[in-house]
Amino acid sequence: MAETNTQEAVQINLTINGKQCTGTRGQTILDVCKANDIHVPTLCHCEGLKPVGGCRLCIVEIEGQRRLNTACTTPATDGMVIQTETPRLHDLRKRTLELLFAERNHICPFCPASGSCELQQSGYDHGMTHVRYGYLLPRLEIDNSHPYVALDHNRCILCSRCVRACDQWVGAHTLDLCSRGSLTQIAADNGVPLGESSCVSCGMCIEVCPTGALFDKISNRVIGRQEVPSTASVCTTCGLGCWTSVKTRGRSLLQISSGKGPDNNQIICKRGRYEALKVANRPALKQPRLKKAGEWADVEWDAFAEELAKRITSGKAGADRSRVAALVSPSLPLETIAMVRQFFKDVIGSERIGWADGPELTSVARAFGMNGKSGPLARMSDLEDSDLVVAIGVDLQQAAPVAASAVRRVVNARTAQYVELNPRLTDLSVLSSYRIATKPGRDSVVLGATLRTMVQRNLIQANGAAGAIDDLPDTAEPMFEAATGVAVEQVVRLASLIAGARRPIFVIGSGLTAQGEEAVESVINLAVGGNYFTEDGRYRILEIPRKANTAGARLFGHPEFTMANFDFAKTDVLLMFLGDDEPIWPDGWLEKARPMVHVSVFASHTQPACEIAHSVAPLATWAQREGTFVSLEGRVQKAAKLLDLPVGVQPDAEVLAAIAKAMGKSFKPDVEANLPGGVKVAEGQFVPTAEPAGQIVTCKSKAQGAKSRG
Amino acid sequence: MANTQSNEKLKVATVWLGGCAGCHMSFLDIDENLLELAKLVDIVHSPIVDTKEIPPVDVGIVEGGICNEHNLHVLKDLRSKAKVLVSLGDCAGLGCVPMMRNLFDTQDVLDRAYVAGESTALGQVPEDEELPRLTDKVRPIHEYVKVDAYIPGCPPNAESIWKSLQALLSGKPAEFVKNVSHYD
Repeated sequence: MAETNTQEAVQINLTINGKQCTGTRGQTILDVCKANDIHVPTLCHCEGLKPVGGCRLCIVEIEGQRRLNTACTTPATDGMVIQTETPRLHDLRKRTLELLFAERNHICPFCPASGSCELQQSGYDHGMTHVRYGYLLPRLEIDNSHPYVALDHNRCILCSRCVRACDQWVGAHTLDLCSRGSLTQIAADNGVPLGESSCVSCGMCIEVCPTGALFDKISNRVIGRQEVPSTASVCTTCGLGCWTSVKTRGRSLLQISSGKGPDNNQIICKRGRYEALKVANRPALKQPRLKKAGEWADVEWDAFAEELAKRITSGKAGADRSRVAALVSPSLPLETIAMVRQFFKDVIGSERIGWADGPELTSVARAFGMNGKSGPLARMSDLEDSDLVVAIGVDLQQAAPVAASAVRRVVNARTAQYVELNPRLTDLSVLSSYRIATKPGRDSVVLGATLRTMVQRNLIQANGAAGAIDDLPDTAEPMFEAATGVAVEQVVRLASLIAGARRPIFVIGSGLTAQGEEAVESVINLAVGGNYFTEDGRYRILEIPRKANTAGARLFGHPEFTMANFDFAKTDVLLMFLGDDEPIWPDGWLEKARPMVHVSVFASHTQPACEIAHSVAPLATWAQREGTFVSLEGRVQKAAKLLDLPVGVQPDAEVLAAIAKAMGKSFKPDVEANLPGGVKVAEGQFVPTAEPAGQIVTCKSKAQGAKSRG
Repeated sequence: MANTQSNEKLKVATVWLGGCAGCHMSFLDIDENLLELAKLVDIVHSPIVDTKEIPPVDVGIVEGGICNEHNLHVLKDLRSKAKVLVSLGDCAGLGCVPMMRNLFDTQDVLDRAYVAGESTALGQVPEDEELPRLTDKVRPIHEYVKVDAYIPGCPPNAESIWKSLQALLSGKPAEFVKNVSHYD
């Protein structure tokens, strides 16, 4: 979204309302006014969206020009003499407002936006007491078909802010204007109800709507017209870590909106806005539970801790503490993870701390040689800057909707093409200029063959051990097409597309990374072979992890194990520390864990893992504790504590201390000492990254002793 | 008001047209200022004054918009008898909630109220020449008569009513009171 201005700023001088003002060339009159604290009324203008000069409220008088000009679209030039507040302008603006009120059915007492409505405020600012034009009283529809967004055409002033946000920010372009003149209306797709449209439910249109035409069906009901202060935080529903602004009252979350961060990441998605809100307000666990004779019983914390302590200290686990294992979710904050690790090492005396996540947590860390650092990976800004996006094994709209928006933007702007390797169609497939349905698990073969083709056909100058090219998979192999489901011509086409791009970016998701280290290496080989690096030496590879803190989890050093290679036979007691809504990976995993002596689940809500558990203890929800998260870009971010803990739920440290006490030990958490070194940078900064490799790695080169990067 | 100098009190009439009486309630909410007001004016006609006909007055105050023929009749009557006509509240000035009826056919609205109501059995739309007929559309009063001053709000808060009355009674125009007046 950021438009970087590489030209040097040229200062210009203007006189506005008799005051000497300075600006820079390229700014609009409105920009200069804002920078000089001169208020110009606007309605269709919205920071970050291209101005259209539609509402005519920002008209100004420019000396020497007969016509009035809109401040939002007129470039400021040196020596301009401008008036923004004259009786004539005031009168015209008031008339414009009255025309807006006369055009549709604006009934303030019945509108959820009343009190925060920009049209209403403009009416107040201009002393509008009534409308001198006869009301048109059109009969307009209310589109209530969408689960989250309602669209009341009666209140729409056709400012097109929603249309522009949907297009320029979200890239969905679901909304647009239809019909002409006074019959113009906001329409979804080709005039279908919003609920049946291509809407991605991000809710950005609601945020930019100046009136109550678009409103939030979930949050408006609870906020009403009260002024509620908001808290800045970050979203923890996926690895992107978008900035949010959250409104709360008492113990409930009222609304999540997009927040302002240091970068241009100014939108949030359906998951961040609505699903996180639902999770935070859903009835949560309030008391520990024990399963006795197949029946759950609520118990006090002491009873829970005693039972767990007994299981840990008796039987085979008591004799050999390595039979006690932990699975910690990377959707928890680093502080909680660090405490659990310390607790396991110091109190339980077991080093078996793994991750409640898929195998990609390990495969990516090893393939990139992270070793407790962040991967030398691309960032979102590199995606905006690319001319070819190759998405491999990822449905971006599901995995990281805000990243999907970034792809939509570059494709819509025709600055990039989108290519997809995925066995299944994704929400972004319609954007793709080429897509290959690889057989599941065969991506590394196809990608290896693609690199080989690029070199063999002289599409690129091979970089990094040209000899290794001969060890890459070959499309000439007889079974190639049968094994991969990909024809030779498809590989050739993909090779030429990648080679034809100057700044390709490879976006990889769990569909690829869960295939293992080799699959990740095949993408690294492409980046190395084609020399696809960012200016500061990171691979042009963007990894979309499954969970909010996957990147943070990898900073704790090489991950011991994940759910994928969990050793059931060596475990008697398993403690699972889970986030709010954890899908268990893979299917059937829980059944294998069922025979264990004791499974204890620590989670905020009842979820699938509780089904096989013998004890369950409540933890805080995402909204009830503060903590550090590392985004997929490697940025250290703090999520704020938004709600107080309900009665009965203990802070993470006290939960662990209670178990330690029941074991006859004490537990004093030292989060500082147990956090990975890399995150000790200022909030908002990036953790140090590992060095990228200069070599192409193949199975053969590894077998010959070339060390894997890990 | 030229004659505020003399001892003779100004005559005020208020009428309640297509509105909910909330504006009159808010008028009473000026509390102790009612005593102040009583020193300056006589309220000679009002929903709370037992008179049939509107006498000639200095100030006529209108709550409610025009929903039926009776509303229109009263409005025109008051206009012809008042030197200054004041629109009180959003129904009179902006249309407000009664205007939502405009989103439907008048006959559908009547049927919904008198025939299709959940608690209605064998209902029918009342029809009598004594009953005023609904106008086709609900509109604010200035679409029918000249209005001299507006006090917006649903209802207008007591402070904006008192400030506007003070201005009017001292011969000044009643303007939108910043940070006090509102549309909701």
